[in-house]
Amino acid sequence: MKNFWVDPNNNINISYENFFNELRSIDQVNKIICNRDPYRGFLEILASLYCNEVITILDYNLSVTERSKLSINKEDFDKKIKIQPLHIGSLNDFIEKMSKNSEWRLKLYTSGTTGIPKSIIHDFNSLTRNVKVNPRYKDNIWALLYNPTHIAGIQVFFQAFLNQNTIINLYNYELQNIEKALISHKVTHISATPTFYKAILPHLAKTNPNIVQITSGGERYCFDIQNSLSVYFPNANFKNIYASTEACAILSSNGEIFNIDEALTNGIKISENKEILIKKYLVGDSEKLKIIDDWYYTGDFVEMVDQKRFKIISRESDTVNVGGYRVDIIEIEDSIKNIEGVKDVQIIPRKNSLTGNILEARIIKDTFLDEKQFKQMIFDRLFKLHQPWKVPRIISFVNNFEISRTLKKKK
Amino acid sequence: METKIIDILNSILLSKNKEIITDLEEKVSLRNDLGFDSLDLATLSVRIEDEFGIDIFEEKIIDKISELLTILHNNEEFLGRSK
Repeated sequence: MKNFWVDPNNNINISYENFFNELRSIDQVNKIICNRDPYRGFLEILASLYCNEVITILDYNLSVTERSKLSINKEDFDKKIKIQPLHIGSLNDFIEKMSKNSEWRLKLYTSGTTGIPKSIIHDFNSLTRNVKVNPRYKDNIWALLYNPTHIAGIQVFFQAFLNQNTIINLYNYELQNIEKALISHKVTHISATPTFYKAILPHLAKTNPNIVQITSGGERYCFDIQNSLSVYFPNANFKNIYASTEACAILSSNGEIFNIDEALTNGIKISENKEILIKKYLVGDSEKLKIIDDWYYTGDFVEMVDQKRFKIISRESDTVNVGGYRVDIIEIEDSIKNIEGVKDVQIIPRKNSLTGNILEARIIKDTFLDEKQFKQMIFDRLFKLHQPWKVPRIISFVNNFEISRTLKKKK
Repeated sequence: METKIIDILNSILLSKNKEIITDLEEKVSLRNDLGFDSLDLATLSVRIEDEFGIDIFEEKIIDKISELLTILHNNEEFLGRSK
């Protein structure tokens, strides 16, 4: 019997049969989902979709301050939507019914770098625009590495579910155990951010021939990371997705160069100042998006390779607001990496109520220099090279990187 | 707690090659006497939040060491739990 959900952390295996039985017996869903149980969350997403009900998902990593800024009444958190028993026949009937439910909306609140959570509303079609369903994908096994309350996590879920694949839940799994889990559960497909891949690299030691696809998205692509990963995953095909919370997955490529698909030529264009613009119908609904003449201004900038092809050189998601200035994190990481004695570096934005953010540099060092001396040397170099707001004000030496740039605040 | 605050203040001063302090004088102004700009104050706020779990600028912008100590002392019960 094929598994739908495997959670190695909690020793849970749920077959598709049991999953559908559970779905059939569901009689209510939460109006707002913000729990830490992704399995239950996905169950409720499907149930609401089947019943054409609008639901909201909150990133469960939102801080108390961020939650206080949401336009949601406290009592809404306790609201339940009563639903009729689901008469699910075949998966195909189920999918057909879901895709026709035009009233269903998923409202997502995710943590941003501004301190105010981003909200975006998607329908079934925008969420599954890039999902590929094909009988030849039936044996794929997906690792869930994204936050299941983020759009990318939900998309991995739909990609796997609509092909009836097994999902191995490795979100928040100990980094040092991920390699073992990927091998023992025979995972074939992984999807994560470059930040995650950078964090996992020091924990890889074995060759894993099972992985056939590695998808990277949400941030600027990094060729160095692909090269390093290909040593451990020799059979992997690399896929770079241009995706965002606002537009979901919109473009894909096998490397850093994108080509606008024929079918999307009316939906995506590059402005004169080389910003990616996306037609309004392709993006989710939100009051906060910059939309002019029906075009959404993404804040992502490209360099044209030729008339049709481009590579992304700056992403809104890679920039952080420090005291009113936009700072490109990758530029600062590259600058620190050039300092002798720095093996690798990760920049983490640190929120504060004074300047929005400051930067922290987490450095893996490769030097015998005393830490205090080395830190001073890095500060001196960076203050010479960059404007004061671009200089990471906190430098720490680490052995491992964070899997996400959004740190959980101390409660 | 005082030693930890001195360490944090000194780490900010050192990063800009400024003279370090050896004790906490209540009347000292972070801006005027230690020369902290808004980014230094933001760094102080993040470092103190990391250490003690308290956002020192949550209610208002403070400037004197005495104000900083007052906030931390007022949250001593909370500090006890976070340490």
